[in-house]
Amino acid sequence: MSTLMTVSRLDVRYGQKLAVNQACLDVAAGTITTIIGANGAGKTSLLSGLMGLAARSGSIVFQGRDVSDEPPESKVRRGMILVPERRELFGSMSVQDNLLLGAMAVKATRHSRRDRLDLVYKKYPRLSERRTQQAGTLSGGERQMLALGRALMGNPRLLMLDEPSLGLAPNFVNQMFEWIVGLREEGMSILLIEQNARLALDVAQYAYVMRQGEISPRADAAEMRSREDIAAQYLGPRRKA
Amino acid sequence: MNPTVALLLAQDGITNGIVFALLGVAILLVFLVTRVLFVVQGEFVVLGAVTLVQVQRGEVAGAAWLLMPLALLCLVLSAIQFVRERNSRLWSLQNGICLLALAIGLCATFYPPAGKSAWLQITTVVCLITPMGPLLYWTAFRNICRSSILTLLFAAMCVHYVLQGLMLPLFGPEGFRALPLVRGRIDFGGIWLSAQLIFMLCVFLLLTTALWLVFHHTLPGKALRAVSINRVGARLVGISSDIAGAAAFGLASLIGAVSGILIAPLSNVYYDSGFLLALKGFVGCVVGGLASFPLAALGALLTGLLDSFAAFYASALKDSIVFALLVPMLLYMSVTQISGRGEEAGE
Ligand SMILES: Nc1ncnc2c1ncn2[C@@H]1O[C@H](COP(=O)(O)OP(=O)(O)OP(=O)(O)O)[C@@H](O)[C@H]1O
Ligand SMILES: [Mg+2]
Repeated sequence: MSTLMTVSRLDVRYGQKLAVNQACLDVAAGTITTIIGANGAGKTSLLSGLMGLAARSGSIVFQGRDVSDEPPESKVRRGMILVPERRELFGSMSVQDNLLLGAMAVKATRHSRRDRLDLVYKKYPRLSERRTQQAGTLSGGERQMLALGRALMGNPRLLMLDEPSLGLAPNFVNQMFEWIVGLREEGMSILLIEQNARLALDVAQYAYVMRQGEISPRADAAEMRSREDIAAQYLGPRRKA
Repeated sequence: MNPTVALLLAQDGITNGIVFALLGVAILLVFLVTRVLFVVQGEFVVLGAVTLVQVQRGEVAGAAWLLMPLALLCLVLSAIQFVRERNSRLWSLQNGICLLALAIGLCATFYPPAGKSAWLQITTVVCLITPMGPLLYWTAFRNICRSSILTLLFAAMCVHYVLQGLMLPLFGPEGFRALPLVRGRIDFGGIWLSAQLIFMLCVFLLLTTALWLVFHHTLPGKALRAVSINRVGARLVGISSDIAGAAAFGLASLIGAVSGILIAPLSNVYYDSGFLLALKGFVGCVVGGLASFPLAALGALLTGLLDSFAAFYASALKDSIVFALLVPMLLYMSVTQISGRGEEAGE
């Protein structure tokens, strides 16, 4: 399977503090790769470094091209699209405007933009119902749906999701993960950051573990799931179904 | 004070207020998109006014001698960047606008527009002044666009002093006053309003309506709003902060040029009149809470009225009175904690 993105020796620092230390990772095309880790392990910082939102050193090769020094907007144009932990929606704009802005970076006619919009509305009918509502007035689940929809408007090649289940009601979490699996089945490559390690390992093919800014070597998700030490640390006691 | 004087003062106040409102809208726009407190806006107004006068006199517009070096400087900077970073493009919007600005400057120098057509005069002024906004953004602000608001304000002050320093030798210390573009008075049921006032009101309404349409009904306009609402979100959908900043500065210089045209027939404009104008536009913004365009415009209109009535009662103190207006506003803002707006963008 071909590699979509290769990251080597990535450092991210905030002033003196080293939040990500010499991280190396690969994302294979058409797979879900997950990074699990405790609070404050540096997962979000890693994504910020990848996108160019935080100061970083190290190299990022995307689709065979060195994009290390590019600003976020040109990475977005190449199809590296992040759904950030804090969603970063345009709160005082309508749902529809948020979605349309998601397609800003895509070379598109007004017509093809409308087509994409219809596609997203078909996937998430709830957004269609709320199209004129201000994004800031949506519920947590709807906001997450909108953040995902906005990312899809940008025609991603690599979709990076930072804790998509954060703050969602339990039944909505399952819905979210069904969507994520559905996207992969459509051929999307996904880098999934999750605190809910069990769910993440269930849907992913490859997995990394992050601890205090350091990232583990790559492992098969299935293998990771069965490892005792991981289970003890991240999976918690298995809930009775 | 009798009603006639009051009416005159009110007219005067509204004409001033319209100019302050345009300044305020431009300053607010630049602040929301780039976090720069754009004190340079006043210089655009002065340049617009002086250029209109020079064009009316059939002289070569001095603004061309600011525009062309600025465009060259911008081209040099982009060439340096091209050499240093191999992945930057040679053909970009920036270089295109630099070349366009050079062409406009040369044109204005060697073929100064002749004739009395007001439209030709207005077009010349707008074409000469508007490119300065984006060019200034690219030369002075682009590379520090993620610094703190304070750093950006210092940069804006530097640009202000440099421009003012260049305008003194270029234009001299005398005042400039343009011939009126529209003359006469119009009778509104016994109240005579000057045609200039009506003209200014029309231009103001047209311009603000156009801006509103752009910001609410076009994708590029929405993108500019998106930058002001959520800077990180805007970067994540691929809105280029470079182009957004240049666009905001370009709109500001366009509004500045128009304000200059409006103010030129009303009062003498000196090379250093800009700063006070910008400050009064800024007062309007602050009165509007540094957040809302209609409130900023309204605040600026009130500032204009206060300015003109203060000039009648205590002309020596009129500027003090206007700026004293800031004190209760700032107090109110520091109490309600909206003054930190824009600083959350720190990354
Ligand atoms: N803007 C910042 N400035 C300074 N330190 C930061 C900043 N953002 C994060 N950190 C620090 O960097 C470390 C890694 O944080 P990060 O948010 O990347 O972790 P995380 O794995 O995403 O955690 P969580 O699971 O809570 O989202 C933490 O110790 C955090 O305190
Ligand atoms: Mg995080």
